[in-house]
Amino acid sequence: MDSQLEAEAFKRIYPEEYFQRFLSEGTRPDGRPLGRARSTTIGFGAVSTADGSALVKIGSTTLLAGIKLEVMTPTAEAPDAGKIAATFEMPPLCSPDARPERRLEETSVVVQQVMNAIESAGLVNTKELLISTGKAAWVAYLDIYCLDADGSLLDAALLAAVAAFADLTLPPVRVNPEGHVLPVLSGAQGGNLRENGDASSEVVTVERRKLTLGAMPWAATIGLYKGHLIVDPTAEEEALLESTVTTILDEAGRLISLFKPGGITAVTTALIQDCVELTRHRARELKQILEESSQEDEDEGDESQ
Amino acid sequence: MEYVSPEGLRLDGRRPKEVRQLKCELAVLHRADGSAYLEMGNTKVLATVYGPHEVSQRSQSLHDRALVHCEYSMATFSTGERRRRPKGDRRSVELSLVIRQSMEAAILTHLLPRTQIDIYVQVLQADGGTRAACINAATLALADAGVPMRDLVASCAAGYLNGTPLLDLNYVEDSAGGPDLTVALLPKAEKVTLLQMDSKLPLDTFEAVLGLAMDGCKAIAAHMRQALLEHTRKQAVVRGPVRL
Amino acid sequence: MYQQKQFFKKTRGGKILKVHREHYLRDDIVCGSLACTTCAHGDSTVLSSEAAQYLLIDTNVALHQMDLLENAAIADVIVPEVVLSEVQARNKAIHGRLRLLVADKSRRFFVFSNEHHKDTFVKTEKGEIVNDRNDRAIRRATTWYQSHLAGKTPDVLLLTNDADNARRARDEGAAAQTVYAYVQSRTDKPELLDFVARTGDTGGEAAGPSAEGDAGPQAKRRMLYAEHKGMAELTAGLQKGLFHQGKLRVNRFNCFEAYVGSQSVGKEILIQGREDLNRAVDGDVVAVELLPPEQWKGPEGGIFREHDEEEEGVAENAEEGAGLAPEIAEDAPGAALENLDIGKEGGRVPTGRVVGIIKRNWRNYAGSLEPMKGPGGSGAMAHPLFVSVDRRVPKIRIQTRQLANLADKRIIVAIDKWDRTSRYPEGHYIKTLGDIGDRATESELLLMENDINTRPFSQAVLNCLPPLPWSVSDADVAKPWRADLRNLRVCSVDPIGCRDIDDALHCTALPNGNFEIGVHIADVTNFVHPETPLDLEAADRGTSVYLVERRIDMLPKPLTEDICSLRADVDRLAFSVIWEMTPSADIVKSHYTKSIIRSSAALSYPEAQARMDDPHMSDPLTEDLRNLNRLAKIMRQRRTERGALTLASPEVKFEIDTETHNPLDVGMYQIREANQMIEEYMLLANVSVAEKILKHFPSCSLLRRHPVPTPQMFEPLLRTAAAVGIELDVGSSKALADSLDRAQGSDPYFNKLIRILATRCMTQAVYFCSGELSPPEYHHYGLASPLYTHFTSPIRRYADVVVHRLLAAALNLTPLPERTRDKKSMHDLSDGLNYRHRNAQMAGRASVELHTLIFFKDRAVDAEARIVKVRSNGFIVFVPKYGIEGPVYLTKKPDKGAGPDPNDDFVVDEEHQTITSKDKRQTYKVLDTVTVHIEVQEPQPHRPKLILTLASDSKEQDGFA
Repeated sequence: MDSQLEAEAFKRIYPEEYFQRFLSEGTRPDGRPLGRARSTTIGFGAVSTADGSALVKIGSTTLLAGIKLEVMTPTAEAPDAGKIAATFEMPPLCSPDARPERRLEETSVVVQQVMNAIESAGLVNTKELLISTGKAAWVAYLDIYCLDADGSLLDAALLAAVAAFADLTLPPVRVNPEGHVLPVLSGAQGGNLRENGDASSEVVTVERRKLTLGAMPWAATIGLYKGHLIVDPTAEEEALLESTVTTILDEAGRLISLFKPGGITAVTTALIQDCVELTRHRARELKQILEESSQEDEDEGDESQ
Repeated sequence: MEYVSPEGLRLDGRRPKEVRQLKCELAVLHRADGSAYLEMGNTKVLATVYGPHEVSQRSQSLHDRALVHCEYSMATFSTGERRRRPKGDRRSVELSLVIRQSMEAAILTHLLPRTQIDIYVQVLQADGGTRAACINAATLALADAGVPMRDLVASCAAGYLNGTPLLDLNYVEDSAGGPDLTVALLPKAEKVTLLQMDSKLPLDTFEAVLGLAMDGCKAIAAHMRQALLEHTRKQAVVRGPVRL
Repeated sequence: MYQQKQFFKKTRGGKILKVHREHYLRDDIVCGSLACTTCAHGDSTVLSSEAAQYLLIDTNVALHQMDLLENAAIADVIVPEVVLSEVQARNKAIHGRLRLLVADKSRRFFVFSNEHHKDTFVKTEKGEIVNDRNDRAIRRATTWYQSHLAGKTPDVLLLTNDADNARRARDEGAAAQTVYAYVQSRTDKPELLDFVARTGDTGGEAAGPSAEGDAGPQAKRRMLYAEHKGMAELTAGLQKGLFHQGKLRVNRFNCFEAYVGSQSVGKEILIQGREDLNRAVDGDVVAVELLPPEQWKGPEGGIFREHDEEEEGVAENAEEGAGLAPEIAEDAPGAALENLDIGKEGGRVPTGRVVGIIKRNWRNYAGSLEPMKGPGGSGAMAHPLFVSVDRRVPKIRIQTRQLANLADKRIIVAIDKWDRTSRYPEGHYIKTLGDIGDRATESELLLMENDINTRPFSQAVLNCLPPLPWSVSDADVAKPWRADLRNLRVCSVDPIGCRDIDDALHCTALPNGNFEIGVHIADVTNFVHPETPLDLEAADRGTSVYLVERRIDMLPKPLTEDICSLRADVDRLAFSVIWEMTPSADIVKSHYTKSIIRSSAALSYPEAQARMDDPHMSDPLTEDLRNLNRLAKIMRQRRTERGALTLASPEVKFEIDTETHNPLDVGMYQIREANQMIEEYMLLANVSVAEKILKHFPSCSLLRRHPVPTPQMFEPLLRTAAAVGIELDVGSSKALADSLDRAQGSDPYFNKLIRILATRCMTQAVYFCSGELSPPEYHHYGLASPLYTHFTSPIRRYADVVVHRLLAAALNLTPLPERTRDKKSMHDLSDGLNYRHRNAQMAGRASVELHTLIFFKDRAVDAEARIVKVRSNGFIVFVPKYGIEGPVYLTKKPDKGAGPDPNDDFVVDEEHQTITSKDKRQTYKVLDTVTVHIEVQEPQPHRPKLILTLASDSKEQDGFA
């Protein structure tokens, strides 16, 4: 019998033992050291129908985030701000584990954490989404789809959200005196703007532009298993772990969120400090990946692909 | 509106009998038994296959063949206007059914009794011809999963605008209000497994449009077969030669 | 076939939705030159290998120089795709013309799909605006051609009037020239220069000599007009309320008086004089600044002011000529005043001046050149002035090398630009229609001026017709909702020679003593289906147009004269309205149905009248007619009692020579009882249908209303009546009708004359969509009916077609077309129909006027005339027999700046509307009868005018030699 097949069988029958053997060697079934996250890629503008989008892969964990803009009337409390609404979807194709009720819990946790992190870090200044005070503002619908759920979903979801906002472009619009928002047509389609007549309708014209993003939040999920700290666990690993801790830091390295769903491991300050340290390292890594990817994106130009 | 210029070019620069750029990738997702990503121009679709595996609800198990289950959904940002598409809306149910029936025609279900095959198709971006793109992606994902099939199922749409039959309509052409015919074909046997049309068309024109759609299917089938071969070759390199 | 292509994607924010399109680039785009050895040749390979040069045009050349491009001397032209699409976005009409040029293979225009060619597509650079990118694409196409055809004979020349673009092209190694420079180089065709439009973007280099005649030597050109403000300043001014935006409407009779209807002022703003009009032309959307109230003016209104009396050089024609008498308010001078809130003369109204043009409305104008002093030299460049037949349009300066050829022609001219230094706009010659005064030429011209489509029906339209010969089929008979009324004795009564018979009638005596009366209207909608090419064409034409010598049909002839026409002794499909009436003409019940009828007689009005009048005739059909007539008289009586006005118009009828189409005789159209009888039933049918459709479709019925005239509009009538001691009550239509009945004078024609004058006070009735107004506004003043519509002439009016569909839908026979349900499209439709209807009437009048002129050309006659208005130097007379009206001068018009004041000889009494000579020997009073001499004179060669003078035997000849 082939040795590979032998290992496969062992893994099936004794998954814990299989896992432990690797850990005792200071490595993991996929060959990573305990502290290393999987290779991460970001593809900007993956969906051209969206106003901003990003495809994020952390190992095989694959998420697609898209932002669609719609015009709304600002609320009376915040007449000079737009807003953000988010969803997180786990369609059945993302995992062989077809139990919708479990997914429902997981998705609401992820979306909650992502929104909190974006707000706490101050990633988006919602005043930038304003078109005309009291009359019109953008609402940004952020929808994140999980296409392959292979562990550490929250990390990937947050990264996808941040990248989608980095990719977001607000379309150029104008507002007429009645407060209706109209598109500004570009020359070839709309003819000469001057010749469109009716010069009195323009009041506010907003250029096509990107958002000025504030501090970016970064997340890392760390698995706890028999005293080991395992960074960025896969789904297979997650199934065996005692517990996970997801730490979210802001740009300055401040802790903005800590999330530990259940498990039996006691949480000590030392453990938290270790997790924060690992996350800090991961944050630097992610920041660099984001910058490099967006650099490449610009080199390609925004018209071609 | 002029959909075909007197110079014979469509709005996007294609000639009437050309399909859009077709791109397919296999085994794009890890956890599935088979998966495929397919682009027909700006229409982008992801399909995954789980199975064959045990039937999850015993009562549905079929003693003489496999149970094929299919679910179609569309990402909220895939269309011009953002729309929440609750699962199970009428269009999704209809499309799921259409995809499933097209696949059942190809899968050798009798070889896999008492099993279940799940096909999930997710539209990421829509620019016309989603029906055809979903079928093509599903067939590739099934092939990737190693599900035994008679043949690939290739699908393509065709329409009729400005008195010209047009192959593989994009969204602008699709929304022009002309007839839109989607055909799915088992190319080897030249058997049509799906034929859908949603408006009136004189019989002679219908024949021309149907013929064009079938030509489109064959061209797409050739392209998919090529992609499949290349994928298999790559896998062979990764896995090393098969020892007997 | 399915080869892979490199592709780019363009993102644009169309709507607020993000739109994303693929853009494929290809390697199989051909150059279209027969000289090329690498590209595949095909049908579209049109560019000649013998050509001296290929011309590649830019967008502005296509937009502004179309008349030049259409000249057959211009061939072998490359039109880049980017130019074609820019033209399409900016001017649909020009795009259509460009497409026609391309389609005509003999013209050798080739569309080069540069946007999809892998080597000529250019990407927008960061920060680059679309215009610059497109210019770059055009230059790239030029250089591509240059290298593609390198070494072959025809070279490529970029035609552009943009100096900067030309310079860049030369920098990039391409040949480029301005249009003017190119045309000048075409020594083989010197006449091409006539067609060059003189636009502003010539970059100085080659604008061509400007019209020097206007302001003397070019060196010291005087600024004649204020500067137009820029768009940004206008926008700001409009927002702050400093300026007012609106469409300029020039007085049809005085081209220096115009109005701008402004919502922000809520009233019409008057603009007077050349300076304040500031180069705005009728129909332009302008920004207006109000003058301070102390500078406000009263309208000059009806004072005739033909073009430029202050004109230098050319002697204006001395006297105005006579023309066709007006029928309604809109026909008369000063028509634009209808909405003005002015009391007496001298009433001041908000007055303003034009500060900027928001959108030009220049079109092509038909007219002729003003005769020039000096030799029209052959071949030398001349700059004559063009005078449009549309008097609202200013004179236009053109340049030509063929002055002698154009002098006595009707020509078409376009405006190119109007600089501050130029008194007149500058334009260019487009084409010649024919000789001035020639019947065919003038008819073509009047059709064109009234925007009437005379093109033959397209094949797509004709394809909608049923196969011919058509007859009622068994399937038609079998329809359960189509009543078979072929057993009824139906007949039609129409004018002599009528071939498009829309309506027929029947009248059956019922056993209970009542009568069953049916009005049967041609079932046009059985053949004209919504949204078909046939339907769209008919909707666009709106109505058939009746000229003196020809008819321009709304529907193709097979429908008009055969399939729909309710001819005698053939089965025809109809839409019937059937009433049961008591002998006292009370309607007991009414119903509507589609039907099949077989008319037993197609009578003319005189025939029908003769039958009814002939006591020896007692056949059933004649009895039917008598019954119909008896009931009609009762209905008419009732209608009059309700306040319907019996109005009158001076309709004249020509007898036309069938060979030459020239008029043989002219006379008043005789109104018989038979005419009135038919009219009565048509009115009844229209009113019944209006009620029925409104009940079912309260918000989208197409109705017709006649607005109540304002008291001001009656003022001229009241003044005239008061002068002859008659009091008219215009308080309501009923009061007016009664007082008109009482207005009897010394002769039988007097009452008719008053009625004609009363009719002139009223405006046109208009179509409208019921959802747009409140029910009280539906009122039809002239008919004194709360509701009215048009149902009875679907062959020749599109409104009736729509009403037929509404009625069919109300009866649940067919669903209401989507478009008819939509308020917005119904609004647009009624606007369009009103426009077409009005134009058709104006064309009809112009045609009568033309034929009147031709008729009198070779015969001078004396005729009885009535004075309708007294003026300071004479009076206006109306000649009932010929329906013409014009001034009679008692004194000669003085020479400019010299001669005695005309009022020295005659004194006008405004109140009594009289004019009396100083020696009191002659007095003329309004409504007096005089005999006038009618004759055609040519004060200038080829400018015939109808001149009215007092006939020698009319009164004592005195006062003038």
